[in-house]
Amino acid sequence: MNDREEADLVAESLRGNREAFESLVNRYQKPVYNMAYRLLNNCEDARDVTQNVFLKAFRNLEGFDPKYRFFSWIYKIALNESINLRNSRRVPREVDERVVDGHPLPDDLLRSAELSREIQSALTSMDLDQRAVIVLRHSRHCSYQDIAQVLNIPEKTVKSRLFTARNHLREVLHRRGVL
Amino acid sequence: MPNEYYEELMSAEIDGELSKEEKTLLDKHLISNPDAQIVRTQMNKLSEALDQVKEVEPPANLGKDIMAVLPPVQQPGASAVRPRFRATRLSILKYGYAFAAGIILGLILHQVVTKRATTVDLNDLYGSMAPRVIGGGWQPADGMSFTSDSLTGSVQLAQLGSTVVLEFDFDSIGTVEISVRYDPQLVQFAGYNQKTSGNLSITGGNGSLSLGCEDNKQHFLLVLTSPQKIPTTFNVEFLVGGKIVDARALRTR
Repeated sequence: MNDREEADLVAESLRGNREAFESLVNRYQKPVYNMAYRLLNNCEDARDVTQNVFLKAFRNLEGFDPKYRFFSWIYKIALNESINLRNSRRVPREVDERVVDGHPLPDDLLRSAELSREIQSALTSMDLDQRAVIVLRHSRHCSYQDIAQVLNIPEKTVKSRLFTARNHLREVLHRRGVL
Repeated sequence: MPNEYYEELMSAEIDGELSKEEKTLLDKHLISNPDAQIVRTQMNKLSEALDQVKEVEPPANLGKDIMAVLPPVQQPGASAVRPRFRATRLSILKYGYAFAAGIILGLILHQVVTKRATTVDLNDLYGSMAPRVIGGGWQPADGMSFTSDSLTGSVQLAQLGSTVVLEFDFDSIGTVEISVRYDPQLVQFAGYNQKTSGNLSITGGNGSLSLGCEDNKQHFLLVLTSPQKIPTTFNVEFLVGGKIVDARALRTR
């Protein structure tokens, strides 16, 4: 689906075409859910954020400026919703990870998931600002320009923030023997 | 130039955002600096690893749930589309359905048989970003279901090789305490995964686990290992408001 088709779907949605909006939901529910999951590290939170993102998008569809790309608009809402949800919690929610008395999970289960788990764990050790640039760049494959638009920061800041985030991740993962 | 400058160039190189001059500068620095070469290798490996992280599958019905809470028809020309439901209605709906489903499931399980063809989903054992590493090899071993005024749900015991999983799925009214006891010579506690929200707390770990959670829907897995692979018993006890409401012995095969 290209930008033109998406703009058409937005226009159709604004004319009351429910199926058009459903197409946008179908197209973006997975990216939005993944983005929220990477930022919040919790499936239930990611689900709540995704629902709220589309509800807000639907309510504010008239505010969407077609000169921007739809995904950067929806990602911006997703980021804000994720931040709001995190800030609304006085106590951080339990993350989807093994914990307790330090016993590792069985080796055969652990091996193939280790890298992903380590990365997600390292991600959660960073500020949400840094996490966001990594997620947008590596999970959503956004360009510097796209990231700048979503985060409302200059491209130069995207570049330096990516460096800081990667350096942090590199050090954490190196210490853990992953890199 | 400080090392940080060159490391920032390495980061930009990953994204293909280096100018020709910057690329030349970086290459020159790398030739004479082995430490920088190590950093660059690590940076590239990190980038590859980040790109390899698997996508998480959203819940199957998420799209339908989203559409269900939107207004049925969007008014043409309206300045802003106002939903008939408030945002908070989302969670009310979701948990309402979950609660109803829990009661129905509990009744069915209570009347039929406790054992079922369990397909324990370990896809999100480490967080749902984990790739699917387990096929359909999990064997249901035992189970229990319970329906009372204060507690409805089930516990399923499944095993695969030396790994044993206790899957708890229930709704409660009132604080729930659960005791799980087993032979520490045969079984070790390996970890847990909380599949729904809730303030689950776990203490113990050497032959006895004490779990506590507040009143609401709970769904979590306890993962244990049984290296000797011999049949063993798990004594599971549920207390609500300090009173025992159910106690069973579940046994592996």
